[in-house]
Amino acid sequence: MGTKRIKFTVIKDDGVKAYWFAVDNQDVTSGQSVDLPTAPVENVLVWWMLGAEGATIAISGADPAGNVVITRKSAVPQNRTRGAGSKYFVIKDGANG
Amino acid sequence: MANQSRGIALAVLLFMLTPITHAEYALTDAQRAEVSTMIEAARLSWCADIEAALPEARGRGPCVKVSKIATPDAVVSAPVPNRIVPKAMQPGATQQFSDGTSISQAQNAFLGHTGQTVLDDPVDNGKPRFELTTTTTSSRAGIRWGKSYIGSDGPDEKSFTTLSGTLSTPVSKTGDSNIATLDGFANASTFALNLTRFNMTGFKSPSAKQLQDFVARAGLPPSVLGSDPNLPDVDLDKLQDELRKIGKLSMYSGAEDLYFRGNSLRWTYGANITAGYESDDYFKASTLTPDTKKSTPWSAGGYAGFFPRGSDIYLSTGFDFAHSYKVAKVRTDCPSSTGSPVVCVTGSFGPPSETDKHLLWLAARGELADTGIGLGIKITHDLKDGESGVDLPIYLFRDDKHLLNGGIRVGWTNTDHFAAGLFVGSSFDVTGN
Repeated sequence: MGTKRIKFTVIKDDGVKAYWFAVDNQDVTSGQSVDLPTAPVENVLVWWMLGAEGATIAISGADPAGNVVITRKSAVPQNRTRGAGSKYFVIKDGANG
Repeated sequence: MANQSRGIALAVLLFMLTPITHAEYALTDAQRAEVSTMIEAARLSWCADIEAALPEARGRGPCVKVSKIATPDAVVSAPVPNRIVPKAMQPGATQQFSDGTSISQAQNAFLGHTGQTVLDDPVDNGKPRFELTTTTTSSRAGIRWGKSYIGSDGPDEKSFTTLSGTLSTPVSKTGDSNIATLDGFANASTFALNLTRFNMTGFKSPSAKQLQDFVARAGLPPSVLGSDPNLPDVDLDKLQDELRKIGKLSMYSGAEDLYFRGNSLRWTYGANITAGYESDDYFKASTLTPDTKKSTPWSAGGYAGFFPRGSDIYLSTGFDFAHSYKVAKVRTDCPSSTGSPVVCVTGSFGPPSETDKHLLWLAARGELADTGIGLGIKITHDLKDGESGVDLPIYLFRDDKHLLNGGIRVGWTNTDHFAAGLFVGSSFDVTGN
């Protein structure tokens, strides 16, 4: 088992007033890089956001070579002001594609 | 249901925009004819815009085709959004009448009050954006940008801080204060700095097993968790959709409980400073000659707001200290007769007077359930002079991303009464805009 340095980037639209996300229970901000274990260890991305119904956030993580190892888009549900989600993922020793 | 609600709101708007007559401005026949022509041109242009966006507005309220709009003895107070007012009618421009008299269009009778720009709202996500707001009697344009910071203040408490700047300018000007907030920047180009902080408690991170258990308990297929149920990939939006499909939307609160503690708190606070520059035209009372006064209004304030537990309605309050300039009331005056034809002028007589405002405000924002309509009400009271104002933006239209971003705006003050108009380009959410 090794580790890979993954840089996370967030894109959100106007309706998102605040957002937070964590990888393996570690708070992360947009533009921050974190060292994550590679396969077979499972990692988990969790995000929370506040905003208007339908407002979207897109989170992606890429290794230093630019290979995207995780990407996820999520929206605030209908008639709600809070959105959240989880995505479990495994980072292959090579690129995840 | 949503269309019916929007139709009712539209009917209210059209009723409010039905022309009102005022008998206090006596004009010559030529002046009345020119004003009527301008009003009719503006009305037709505005109605064309409305009907293009809202087919149901065709032939209703002020958009009913009429053969004659002029009233015999008075200027018509018509709903004229200034974004369609010809350049010659913009602030500072002077309309020459055929008999040689003139009226400063910034002080014209049917340009009464100014609505606020919704860029003023307190909570921002720091993303640059441009906005144009137009009301019955004025328009403002602005651009805002900023930077956001994320913080963790405890095991389950996080913060989101935004510093933003807003550059805003009136496209047209006539009033002395914003109808909703009374802040006195209606005629000024402004630069504002806002610092906001959003805090929330009750964050939770569900385990894979908790997600799998919820899906099983709800009777949802394992595929809801993604291609590999052992590596769940799911969000609340998707769970809500799936629960709706099987008629179990009542279980959605259980899904939300996976990510948020039921009694979580959400609150926000911040501060802002605004500096402005404005140039106001007036007539010297003694000689009736035109003059201009340049001034620099400013304000500073703070606010705090929260969501009551278990509610998606945002309540807030704040206080602003504003140093502004009040334009004198518009009237028509004539020099003493010397035997030759008398030439009268209409406008403000005397320079704007300096005034301090101590503004206390209360606001509530929320979305009407199952109607697709967003509402925000803000009540402002000037502790110093007793003036009060109410601003009510009603969000009716959505953009291509399904966000509410346009509608009608109704304002009221105890001194100048009602104004109403349209606004576009401002995305609705309960904590701002």
